[in-house]
Amino acid sequence: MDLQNLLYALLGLILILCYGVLYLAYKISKQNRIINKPKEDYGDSLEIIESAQKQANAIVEKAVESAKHILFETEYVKQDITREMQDSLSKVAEETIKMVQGRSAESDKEFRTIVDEIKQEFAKEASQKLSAIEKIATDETNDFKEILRRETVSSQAIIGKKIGEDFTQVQAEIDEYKKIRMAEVDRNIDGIVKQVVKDTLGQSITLPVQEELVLNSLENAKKVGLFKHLEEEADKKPLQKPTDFVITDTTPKEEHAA
Amino acid sequence: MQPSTTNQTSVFDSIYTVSELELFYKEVDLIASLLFKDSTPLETILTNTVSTEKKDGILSFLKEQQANLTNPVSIQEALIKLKTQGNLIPVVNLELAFEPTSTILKNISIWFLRRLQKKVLLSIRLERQILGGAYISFNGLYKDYTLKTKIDKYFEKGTAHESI
Repeated sequence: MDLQNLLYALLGLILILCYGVLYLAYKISKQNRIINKPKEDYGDSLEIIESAQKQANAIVEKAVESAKHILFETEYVKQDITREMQDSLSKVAEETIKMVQGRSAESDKEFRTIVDEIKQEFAKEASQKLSAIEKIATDETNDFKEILRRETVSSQAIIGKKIGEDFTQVQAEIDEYKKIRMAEVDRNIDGIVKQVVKDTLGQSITLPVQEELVLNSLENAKKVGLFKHLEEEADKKPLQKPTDFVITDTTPKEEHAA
Repeated sequence: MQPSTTNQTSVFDSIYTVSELELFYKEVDLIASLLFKDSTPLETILTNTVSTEKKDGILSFLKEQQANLTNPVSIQEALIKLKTQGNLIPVVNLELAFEPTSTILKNISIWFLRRLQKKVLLSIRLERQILGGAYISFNGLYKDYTLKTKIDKYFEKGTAHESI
C-alpha cells in the first residue's frame, strides 16, 4: 500500500514536472516570436522601399524617354514639312531670283503670295504635327496612370503615394515642356519658313544666276554713288583705248556721265 | 603717280584680283633675281617665267620706260616702277556666296572698265551664308546687296509685306 502511494506521488511529480517543462518551452517559443517579429517587419519595409525606388526610377526613365521623343518629333516637324513642301519652296526660289534680277514687275507680288501661302501651309502642317505629338504625350501619360493604378492596387499605400508624387511632378514637367515647345514653334513659324527659304535658295542658284546677281549689285552700287570716286577719276583721265579690252559681258550699256 | 592707261591694258589686263597681282609680283621678283644670276637674255627669262600676255606687257612697259634691256640694273628699276603702278590700281572688295570662276572674275572686271572706265582689282571673300548678290565695299564705303539681307528684311516683324 505504501509502495502504491509512493508510485502515485512519483507519477504526480513527474506530471507536474512535464507541465512545467512544456510551459517553459511555450514561454520561450512565445518570447522568440516576439523577438523575431520586428526583424521580419523591417525586412518587409526594406523590400517596400526598394520596390518604390525601382518604380520611381522607371517612371523617371520613362519621362525622360518621353521628353526625348517629343523633342525628336518636334525637330522632325521641320524636315518632314520641308520635304512635303518642296514644290512650293522651289517656286519661292524661282520667284526670288526673278525678283532680284528685276525680270518681272509682278515678281515681288508673286513672291509675297507664295511665301504667305507657304507660311499658312507650314502653320497648318505644324499644328497637325504638334497635335500628333500631343497625342503621343497623352498616351504616355495614360500609361503612367495605368502603372499608378496597378501599383497602387498591388502595393502598399506608401508606394502609391510615392508614385503619385512622381507622376504629378513628371506630368507637370511634360505639360510645361510641351507648352513651351508649342509656343516656340508657333512663335517661330516665320523664322522656320525664312530658314527653309534660305536653304532652298542656297541650293537652287546656279553660277550664271549668281554672276547676274553680282553684276546687278554692282549696277545698284553705281546708281547710289558707291563708285563716285572712281567715276570722278575716270572723268579726269578717261581710258584712252577702252576698245582694247575684250568685252564679253551682257550688261546694258549706259552713256558714262561726263 | 597714276598707272598708265596704255600699260594697264597690256600688263595688268589679265590680272583681275589682288591675289593674282601678288602672284604677278612674285614672278616679277623672280625675273629681277634671274637677271643678276647669269647672262640669259631677258626675253628668254620672260618666256620661262610668265605667260605670253604678261611677257608682251612687261616688254612694252620696259620700252615705254626707256629701260636698257641689256642692263639688269636698268631693267630692275623699271620693274620696281611697274610694281608701283600696280599698287595704284583701286581695289574693290566683294563678298560673294560662291567661288567665282576666272570667266566670272573677268566679266566683273570688264564691268568696271565698261561702266566706270576704270581698271580695278577685285578682293574676293567667300561667304556662303549671303546666298547670292554681293556685299560691296570701296574707299571706306559699303553697300549690302546680298540675298540674305533682302530675305531677312522681308521677314522682319511688321515689314513682311514690304517690297524685297
